[in-house]
Amino acid sequence: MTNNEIRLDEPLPEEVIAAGRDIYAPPTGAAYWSVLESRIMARLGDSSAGRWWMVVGGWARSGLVAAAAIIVATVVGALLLQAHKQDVRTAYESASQPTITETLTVPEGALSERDGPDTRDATFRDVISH
Amino acid sequence: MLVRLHSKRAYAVARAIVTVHEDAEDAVQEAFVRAYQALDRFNLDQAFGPWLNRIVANAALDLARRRKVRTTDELHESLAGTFRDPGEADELRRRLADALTKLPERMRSVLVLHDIEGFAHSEIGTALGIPEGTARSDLHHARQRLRGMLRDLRDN
Repeated sequence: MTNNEIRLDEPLPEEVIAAGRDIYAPPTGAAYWSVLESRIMARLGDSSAGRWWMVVGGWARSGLVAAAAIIVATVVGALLLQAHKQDVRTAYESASQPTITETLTVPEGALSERDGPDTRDATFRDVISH
Repeated sequence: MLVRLHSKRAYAVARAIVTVHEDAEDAVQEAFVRAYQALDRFNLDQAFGPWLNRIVANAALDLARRRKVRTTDELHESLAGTFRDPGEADELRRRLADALTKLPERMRSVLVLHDIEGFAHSEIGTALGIPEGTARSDLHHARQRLRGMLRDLRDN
């Protein structure tokens, strides 16, 4: 590294930086900044917009999280409801469709009058469960 | 609240670019309006200050472009004139103000933000929309030019 390169990395002399701070010194005094803030708020629109601007930083994050949770809950609920309706419909169709009549074809006399309704129901349940 | 919290830093960014106090003030106001309008595009995972500083820098650069008609003499007058004290002429301050107006806009902005306002290279890069390495390079070149322009003053 040459001496010239070392010089380039050196900060400016302290007195030059101090002079620069004088030149670029921001206005002092709270009154100036209050007035500037008022002018900015006036440009931002009516007072409700201004208030929204002031509080938005506080609730924006939690509001978004809550909104996301509501959307997820709604979607999951809708899916569960849909699945439940499908189960009910399937069960109803299984119980009412005539396709099981083939399965119920049993040799004549296998179900006699003496078996009664309870026996027939038990046989029916046994057949459809396989 | 956000305005009060960030207005001084925003002013420093604007002033480094436009150099004139009144223009910096206009740029800050314009920047807050733009930030308000763009708030729905603000990513909550990032810090608000650097995001705002970028908007301030853009507003200041837009203003500077509109002010291009201003001659170097007028710029020098506005930069140094505000702080002129007839009672005790500050040669260094006048010469520095003059030298700063002769630097290219981006070099001057980087130098002022880093050496005078104390911004980090990464902050300057974010605000001005340039890579951090470019900010470092600009700073070195700006210092070099400034040293050259102030050399005789230093020798004396």
